[in-house]
Amino acid sequence: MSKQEQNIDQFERLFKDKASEYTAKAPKANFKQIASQSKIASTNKLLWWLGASFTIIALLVSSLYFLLPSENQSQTRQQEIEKQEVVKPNIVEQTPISETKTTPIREEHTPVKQNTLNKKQEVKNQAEASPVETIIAHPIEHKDTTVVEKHKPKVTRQKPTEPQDLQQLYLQSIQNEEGDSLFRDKKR
Amino acid sequence: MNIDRIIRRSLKGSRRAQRKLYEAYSDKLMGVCIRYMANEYEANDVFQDTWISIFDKLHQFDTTRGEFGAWAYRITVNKALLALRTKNKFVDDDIEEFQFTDKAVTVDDNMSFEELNKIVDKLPEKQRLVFNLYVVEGYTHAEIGNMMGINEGTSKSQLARARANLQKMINYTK
Repeated sequence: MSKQEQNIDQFERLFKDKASEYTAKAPKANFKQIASQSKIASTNKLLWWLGASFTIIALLVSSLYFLLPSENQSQTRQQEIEKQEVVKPNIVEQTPISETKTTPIREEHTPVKQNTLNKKQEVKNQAEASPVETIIAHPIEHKDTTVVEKHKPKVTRQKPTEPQDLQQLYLQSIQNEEGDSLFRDKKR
Repeated sequence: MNIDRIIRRSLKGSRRAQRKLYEAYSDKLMGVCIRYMANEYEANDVFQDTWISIFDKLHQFDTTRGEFGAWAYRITVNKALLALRTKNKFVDDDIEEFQFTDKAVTVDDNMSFEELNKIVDKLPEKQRLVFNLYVVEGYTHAEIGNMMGINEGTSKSQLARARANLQKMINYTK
């Protein structure tokens, strides 16, 4: 082996030793990028997938839980409808009972109306029976009656509240009648 | 540090174990990337691709068949060669004539790897790769031929040329 060949052999050995020992500073920040790009499993990913799968399963179960009772409800509704169809004739037969039930309510309400009507009639009767009516029947005062007719509620309400006026009118009319009678007697 | 345990935990999805594995071998594999690639930027790209492959193929690694370091080393070299091939770095050295005009460098045992690598870097690309694969990695010419996509004979001839050129470039002293 020549000297040059020996030199190159020694160089190769030295180069190999130094190269095998050689290390270069690798960027540590690259790990995150590498880990995210690689397909290797990570606990974080697994946890995420587990969480996602659990939520999906939970949603499915809950949806099934809400769907199944609705089907039962529809079935029960159909059954109820069928039952109602069967029961319907009885309801028709039971209608008289409802009529009898309603009538007392009307009876309960009618006395109230009748009372008010009776009061009105009493007032009217009093007005008719009273001699004031004779004066009211006067053509001049007839206008007032028309007015009274227009404002019937006011008149009907005021009349019972003022019995003293009626009495005064009544007394006046008696006095007038007495006066007239005396005047007639005197003429006679 | 039990590397088998770290690998098992990494496969189970432990980010901490994966980081430990990365930190244990990253500097060594970065050195390989720098040795094969022309600059640090390209070396960093190859380094990232290498680790993505290592993590993706970690389940294929058999602890009984060999050491993890050697397996990862092999992946790194393959990635570097692939990167060089895709960039058409395998220039046909038969046409290219190597001319060394500088004075021969005196080499001694105290020289650092960077200084020695500067000498090797002056070789043509194909010769440099074959020299690295044969001398440092210890691949056979058949393996180098398969890895580089060249004949076994071509690999042998490239190594012979690399040696001849280095003889001109160095003057070894103890």
